[in-house]
Amino acid sequence: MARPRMTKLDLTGQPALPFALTDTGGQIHRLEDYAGRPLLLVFHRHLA
Amino acid sequence: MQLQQHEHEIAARQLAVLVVTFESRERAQRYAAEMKLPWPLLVDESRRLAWGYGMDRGRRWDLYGPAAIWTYLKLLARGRRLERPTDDVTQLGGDILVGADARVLLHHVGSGPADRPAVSEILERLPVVATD
Repeated sequence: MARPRMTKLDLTGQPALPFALTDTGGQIHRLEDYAGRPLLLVFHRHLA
Repeated sequence: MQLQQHEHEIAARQLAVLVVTFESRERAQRYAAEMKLPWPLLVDESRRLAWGYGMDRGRRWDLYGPAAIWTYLKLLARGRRLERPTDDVTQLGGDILVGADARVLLHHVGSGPADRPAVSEILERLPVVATD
């Protein structure tokens, strides 16, 4: 998938984007797993 | 990781944290063990989620300028061993705070390694939970 070019985006107040990603232990995490509690997604640009 | 210094405060606010990396699973496993991360480290090699939140390529000045160098020097002073990145070094990171209603409370795309919201700023966005 080619990387899209973007303008500055602000999704504050909008529904969070769905995801299903696997952690280092092999467990899948989905957005809906965290329904009803706040969630912080921290994107690391690279693991220094 | 700056966030780890606030682990107990974050837990007290019942805030779940997921750390997302774009690097390989092997490298992520090594990093999680080395840093003793208290939160899950998710691997998103496709970067689709980050791109969906507008985390595109950074500008060279933000990525290699004085603020970035100062950030890395602080890490080195704390004894961190910096590894050479194995993938696209221009990829931006960021922080997305999602409320209990699954709506975005804070959308921050970092312009470089030195540009992250303070933990206090993140916690201020959370509604105050009433206690008995």
